[in-house]
Amino acid sequence: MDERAERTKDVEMPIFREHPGLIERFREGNPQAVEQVYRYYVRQVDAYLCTLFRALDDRHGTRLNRADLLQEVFVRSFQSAARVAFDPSRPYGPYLRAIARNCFIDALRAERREVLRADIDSSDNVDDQAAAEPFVDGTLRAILTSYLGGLPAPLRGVYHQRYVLGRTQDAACAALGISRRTLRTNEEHLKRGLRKALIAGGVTTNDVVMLANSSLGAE
Amino acid sequence: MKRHHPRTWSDGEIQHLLSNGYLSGQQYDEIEARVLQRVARAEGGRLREVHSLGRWARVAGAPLAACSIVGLIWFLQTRESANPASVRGQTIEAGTAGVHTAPSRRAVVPKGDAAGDVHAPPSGILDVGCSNDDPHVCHFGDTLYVSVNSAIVAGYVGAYAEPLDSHTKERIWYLPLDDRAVNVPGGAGTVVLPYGVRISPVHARGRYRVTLWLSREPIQRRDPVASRGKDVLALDAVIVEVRP
Repeated sequence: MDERAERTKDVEMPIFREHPGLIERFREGNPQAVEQVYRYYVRQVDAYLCTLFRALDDRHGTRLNRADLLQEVFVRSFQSAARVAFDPSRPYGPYLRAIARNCFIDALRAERREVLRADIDSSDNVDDQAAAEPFVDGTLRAILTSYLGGLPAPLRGVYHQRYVLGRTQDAACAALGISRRTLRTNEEHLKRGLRKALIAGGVTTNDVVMLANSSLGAE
Repeated sequence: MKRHHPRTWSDGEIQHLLSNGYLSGQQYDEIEARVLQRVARAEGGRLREVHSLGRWARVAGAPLAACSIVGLIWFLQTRESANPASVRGQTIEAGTAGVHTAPSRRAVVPKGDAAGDVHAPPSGILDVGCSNDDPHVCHFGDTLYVSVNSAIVAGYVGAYAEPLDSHTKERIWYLPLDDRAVNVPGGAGTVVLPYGVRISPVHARGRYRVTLWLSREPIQRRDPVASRGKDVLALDAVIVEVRP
């Protein structure tokens, strides 16, 4: 399955149809079932939140933290009442998107920000692939591309599993046939190498704070 | 105390670059742990307990789980004997602390929900760290900063550290400041407080449990749960290691 198909799989095959019996275990709060649903959809919801942030950032910029919002989306979706009330004949992806949109609007309101419905609505038409368009350009992009292009095979595999596909530790370990410890070690090498490449390329921390402000949300 | 300035690429920034604007698999893992924890809390702890046991069984197997139980008993006994003032069920030191297997060193968290107390303050909202590869390892001269997810809850911040590897269990108070309380307004997402803690020689080498909380009203330098439990909106404990 290529990257794009991986990210848009719910369009073709909703998880509760693909896995008969999952909905019952999910409703009961079976932790493995809840985990399975989370893993299936987390990337998709993240992509949708990306589009919401970008739609807004064109004119405003925000200090909202996408990771916090993503967490809130799944907490709301996985509450007992929400699990029991969900109709499995409907696809779960759009349901999660609706919750993500509500979380986003609530967070903006909490920030006392004007919510521009048109901005939010327009983001519904952006597909996940568009959300994954490069968010960095210029020097940063060149450094990143050069660094990733020179990665040895083990690190490239880890990079693909963890950062391109966004797979969890367990899934990445299974796909690569390595232990958790090896995965963590390779991840550290990957990040340390990029740090060195950025420093060698003369890019300062402030450059990234500006670029990534909307998603990192740190002051 | 001094204002915190990032002096290097943070882990979050590096992950953000690598994942091209998406969150990384590691961040998804961390979010998953927090989601399951919060959902379990709302359901009296069942989801998280089962989840944790399942993960233990998958990762380490029964022998390691047995060892961890023995270790936990030893840990609790040691702590109780070292701190006779703590009362079981009343403070977070009092037998309600447990070992958490999440990737970060948010290793000791209050587990009131596991004891059936669904009204325990939520955790996973406050954190501390230094600007190192592993933020929970600090060196002398580093600045320890406090972050708060104010999208979830807002209030007055309190924090103190207790040495785990020293015979003296004397608390080192960080917040509130000597002369004022520190308030975090809601709705700003994850914010880093403008007050950092210089890792000075008052910190000996070794591990510390940093207890952090948010309260509705300012709490003076007293135990957050024992003195004003009902006002505590969020409570976290993080293990930080100080190295030369």
